Amino acid sequence: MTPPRPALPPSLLAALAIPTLALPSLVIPSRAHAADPSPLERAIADVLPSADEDRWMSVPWRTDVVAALDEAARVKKPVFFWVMNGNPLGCA
Amino acid sequence: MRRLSDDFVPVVGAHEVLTAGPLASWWSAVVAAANRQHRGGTTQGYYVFASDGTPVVWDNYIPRIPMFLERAYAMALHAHGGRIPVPADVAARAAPPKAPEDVSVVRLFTRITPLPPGADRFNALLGRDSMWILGDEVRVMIEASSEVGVSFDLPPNLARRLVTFHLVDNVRGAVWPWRPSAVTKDVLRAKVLERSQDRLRLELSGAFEKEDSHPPQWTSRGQRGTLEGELVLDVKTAKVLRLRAIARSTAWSDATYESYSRPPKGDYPIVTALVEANDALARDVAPEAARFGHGYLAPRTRR
Repeated sequence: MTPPRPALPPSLLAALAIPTLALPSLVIPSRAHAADPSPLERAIADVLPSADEDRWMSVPWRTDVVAALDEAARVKKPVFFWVMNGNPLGCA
Repeated sequence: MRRLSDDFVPVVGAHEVLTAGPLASWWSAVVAAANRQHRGGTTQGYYVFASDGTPVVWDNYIPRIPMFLERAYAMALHAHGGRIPVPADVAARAAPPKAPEDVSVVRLFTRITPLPPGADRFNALLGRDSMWILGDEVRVMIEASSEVGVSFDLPPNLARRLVTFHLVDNVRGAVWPWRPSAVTKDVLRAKVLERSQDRLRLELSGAFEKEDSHPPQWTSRGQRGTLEGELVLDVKTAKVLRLRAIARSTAWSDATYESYSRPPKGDYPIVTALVEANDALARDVAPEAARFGHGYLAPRTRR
């Protein structure tokens, strides 16, 4: 097996501060600390993505390119297809 | 990105699946049509198709995305008639795999923290992945939890899957895959904190180690650390209700294959947080390593 070369992660989008919209379908526990968090909860919160790091996820990404092409024909919009080593949303 | 959301149909794809899966022939034709400068090598990047499916243009430079979207949109309005057909049987085989019904999905977030002085800036990014926990593995844990206070090893394939494929340094991008045989320790245990007819609450703890070599890309890569956390299971559905866990580890790698995004020199600290994921996206997109099939689901049987 030849392993794939690494690709830049989706979080690079956040690092570049590209503004996006709010995403309704992704549910990640809040990074904000609870009022009286346990050490474990505090440690986890420090690793979770910030709001900026999740902005790129606000785009209503589809996951099936063939279905997306069919949808584009119906709604008369072009398709933007993001391809990288590892599904960009699989890394999400 | 409002432009992308409102005026395009945005879709993602995995490069290794496109180039080696059922869509490989179609993808080659798309790349040739959209990127006439392509002379081999990776085909990663952003591709825009006209609404009728005609491949229009390609780019792969994130800072240029806003300008690319404007240019590509204008080009797409005037392109038509060049859709490369996908036969129905190929389309059916190319549909992305979803999480099996009895699988619970876990999200993992990884950071190198604190970031060692002098480390490349890409090491400050966030690594993400998802992981599957099989229904049978949850049932094994439920059966082993006979009473409060009992301790037991996590199911062997679950522990090996976690350590091999998910407790990794993926902050700079996709990981050169680890093999199950690189794992020298995956002693992960659970202790019953509470048990009712409906719910089981477990304390997780343990330690792991792995190391490998893949010259010339690297001669020594490794990670060793500990895991702690809490797992709540639904006894009746054999699903994960809640997971809050963290793996703290030390990693090292002398990899040189990416000159612009090398890991920190020497030993460096890396932390992975694990939380349950019950949203639609978690079920729609398989974990990065799920493409290894049985090797992902049952890594104890593979090298």
